[in-house]
Amino acid sequence: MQHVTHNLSQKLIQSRWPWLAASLILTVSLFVSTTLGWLWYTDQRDSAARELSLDLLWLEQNVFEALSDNERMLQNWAHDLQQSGAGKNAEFVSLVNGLMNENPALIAIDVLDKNGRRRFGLPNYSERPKRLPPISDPLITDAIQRCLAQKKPVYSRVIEQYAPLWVLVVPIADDAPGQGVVLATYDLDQLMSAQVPWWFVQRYDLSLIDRDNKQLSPHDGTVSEPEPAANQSDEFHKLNFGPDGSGLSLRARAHPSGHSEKLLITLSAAILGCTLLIFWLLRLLQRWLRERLAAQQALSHELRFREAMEQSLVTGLLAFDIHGTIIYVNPALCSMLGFSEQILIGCKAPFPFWPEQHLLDCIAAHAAMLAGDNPEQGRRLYLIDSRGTELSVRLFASPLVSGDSNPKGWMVSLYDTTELQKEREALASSREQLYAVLSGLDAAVYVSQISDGKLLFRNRRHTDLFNLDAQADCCLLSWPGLSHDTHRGSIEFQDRQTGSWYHLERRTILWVDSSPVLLDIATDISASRKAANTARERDELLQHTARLANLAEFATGIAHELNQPLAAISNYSAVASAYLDVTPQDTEKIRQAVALMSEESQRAGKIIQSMRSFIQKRAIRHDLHNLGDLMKVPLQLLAPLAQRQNKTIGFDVPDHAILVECDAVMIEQVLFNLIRNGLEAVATGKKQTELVDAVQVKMQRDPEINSVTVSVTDRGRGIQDPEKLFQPFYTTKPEGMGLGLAICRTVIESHGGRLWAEAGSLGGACFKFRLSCISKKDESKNNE
Amino acid sequence: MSKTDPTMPHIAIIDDDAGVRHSTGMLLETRNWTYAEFERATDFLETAVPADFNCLLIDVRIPDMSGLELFDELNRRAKKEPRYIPPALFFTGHGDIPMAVKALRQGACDFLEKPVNHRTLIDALTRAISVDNASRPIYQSQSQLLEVIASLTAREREVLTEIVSGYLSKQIGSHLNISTKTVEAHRLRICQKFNIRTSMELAARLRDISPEWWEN
Repeated sequence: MQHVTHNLSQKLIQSRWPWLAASLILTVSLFVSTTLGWLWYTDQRDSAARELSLDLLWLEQNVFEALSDNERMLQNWAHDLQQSGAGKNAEFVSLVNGLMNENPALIAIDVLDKNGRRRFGLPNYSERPKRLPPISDPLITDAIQRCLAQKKPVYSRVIEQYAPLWVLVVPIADDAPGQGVVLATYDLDQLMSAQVPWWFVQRYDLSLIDRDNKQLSPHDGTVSEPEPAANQSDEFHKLNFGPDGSGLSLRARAHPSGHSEKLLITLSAAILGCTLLIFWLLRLLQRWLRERLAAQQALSHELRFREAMEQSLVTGLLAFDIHGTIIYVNPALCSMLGFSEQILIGCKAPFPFWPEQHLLDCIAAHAAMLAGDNPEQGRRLYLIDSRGTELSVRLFASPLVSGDSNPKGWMVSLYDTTELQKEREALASSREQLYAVLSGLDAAVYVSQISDGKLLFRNRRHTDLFNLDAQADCCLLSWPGLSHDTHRGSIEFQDRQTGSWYHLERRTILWVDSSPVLLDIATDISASRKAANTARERDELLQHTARLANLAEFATGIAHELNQPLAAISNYSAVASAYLDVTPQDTEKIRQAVALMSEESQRAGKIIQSMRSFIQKRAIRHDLHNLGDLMKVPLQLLAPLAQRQNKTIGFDVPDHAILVECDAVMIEQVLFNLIRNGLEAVATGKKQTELVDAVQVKMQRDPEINSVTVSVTDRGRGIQDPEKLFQPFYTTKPEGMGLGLAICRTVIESHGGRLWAEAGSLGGACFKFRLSCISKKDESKNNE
Repeated sequence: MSKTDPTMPHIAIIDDDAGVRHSTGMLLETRNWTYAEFERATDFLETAVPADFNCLLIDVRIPDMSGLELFDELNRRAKKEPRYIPPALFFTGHGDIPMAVKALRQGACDFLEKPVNHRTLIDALTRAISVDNASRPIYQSQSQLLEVIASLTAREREVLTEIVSGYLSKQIGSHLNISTKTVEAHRLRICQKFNIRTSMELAARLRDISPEWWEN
């Protein structure tokens, strides 16, 4: 559950929308508060403007009322001036003086005559002070004229003379224009300062402006430039002042609120800045959270990896403190020893995994480890696990060092070498087995280096069979018929000392050091050779029997054919004798029977003759052949027999061709029979001495009589019974038919030659035949 | 040589060798026996009636068909349709034991090896002729019976089979779904045809006839 919420919060942090939502909410709240602030501000300003206009109205009325009072009083007093007299004038002055004292703004009151000349007035002066405008001022003149015309008090326009001045012209007599006028000069500055109450001044900035928005009062000496109307229209309130057409107006402005606007801007800027700061912080926070999360994940991954590594470690790890108490074990050690972590941690010697029979070794090893004697190649120990199985382990110990160089304990790693030990033993035993097998092998195995033939290995059989010199490891063992540079092949050879036959198989193999070496395997094949020979002999016997059976069949055919005429003859003879016994003798019948008898005997003769011609049919094909070439086939056919008997056939044939007109097959048969007889005679006779051919074939040409003599001489026992030699069915061999020589003679004679036997020069028999051959002349003729 | 004297033995000589045939014929003539020559087995099978001869003299080695095969064929035909086969003597130029055993097992009378002594030949022939004389009448009586059987109607033959099997008239009637009276009538007619009186005699006479002949 915790994990799920953890994941959820991780996802939230990782996803974007919480951050967007926070930004949005922040923006909205800022907007709302700004709007509210603005509304409050405008409301405040409106109420202030309203109050200003009311205050201004009140002020104007107040001022105007005061002015009107003065005007009325002056009008009354001026009216009194119609009766000229000094007293009157003095009364007027004193009245005016009092008025002037009450109204400091009233700076001068002049009484003018009808010509516009000052009669008297206040203040008294000889020369008109500079601050007062001259009587002849056109504005004053204009006002006087208007006053006289309208017959009522008139205000002049503002005269700017150090201070803005305002001149009230009051007619002395309404109906008599010639009575003159009274001029009352107001200092507008003074008027303003006198008539405006303190709270007003405190609250507002009041000024008097003329028609051209020119500020007249307060007069600060310099003519202030009219400020742009647009800029000020909404900040001040203006009210017309004075009588109609005076063009004056009062302007009131709340005391400059410049600083509050600046504050507003500053505040806005501050808010904006704060907002931006908050956004930046949010982003920073987000990034920080993400980084933190990634780091956390990496950390947990690393932790899991470490855990997995510890779990999957096959090496048993074990830590001892300085006193030899176990303070740490890893899972591999627990599973190796079969004890749980709880049991092992805190254990002290003797430990539960020390076997009784190796207790002393273990104690010694433990003591040595604590003493700091830790060999680099480790120690081999025997331990037992919780089930009592003995383990063979290799122990490596190293000091547990932290920071300072003083050891805090000992770190020990244990390798279970039980399997390794078993494998090593198995390897050794398989090696022994291999040696046993190689030693027990019937074949002789011999391994030699390719380069120098040096002996690398040979098995016992090889040692028994083949003798090497005393310096055996440096000598070449050469086989007959297989030179040392042959890298692959097989031969059969006979060991001359023992007479056994061997089959030698040679191939190149990779030796233990990966270098190519020659492997020779010699197998004794004497027995199998013998068996093969026996089989071949049996085969030949079978063929011989088959030939005999054929001959028997042939003989049967002949017998049947001959039996017919013989039976007939027998019958006729019986008939003849029967008729002879009868009297009177039927001579005709007897003669008939006898004639038929002779007929039948002739038929028998014909049968035999036809048989001969049937046999001789093959011998009719006579072609020209080289007698030397005719030797090849018989020699080929007899080679296996000679090899089997370990005999050789020597033959002496002249280089030049000896051409004979003959049937090749038949002459080949004759040669075959004669050589075979020779070989068989030697086989049964003496053992062959080496280097001498058992049978010799010679061809000798006798050019004088154009004939060639072929002799086949053997080393057998010679001819025992020369008279019967060529008789059919005479044989000295157990399975012979006794036809071979007879056939040979027949063949040679059918070729017009002769075959005879004589005692051989080599101690055995010698068979010779002579055939006529083509003379050189005939040869050249033939070629033509 | 055609048969002139019916009392004298008549011999068939089957041999491919003309000399042998002729010389044997002359030998037989010295005894006044008659003979007929056949060069091939097929000649004999196509033209001759075996029953005309008292003895067959067959060479084992003849073309087309060996002598033993010829004899085989004759026996096979005799089984199909009843025929009389006279005793056979075999010649061979080169006799051997298995061939002789085979020939004798097939009913040959004797076996002679060529060239044969004329006296041995005459003796063997005489023996064969005496065998022929003994067996021919038995065959003839049987063939008469068969002729009678052949003349029976189908129903009569059925009744006859039942009688020979030893059933009574009543049983026969129930077997063949006919009345006892009808059976009796058939039985009477059969006896008349065989020219005998009782059924017992009939069964005794028919005992020797082989079942194959019945079928035909």
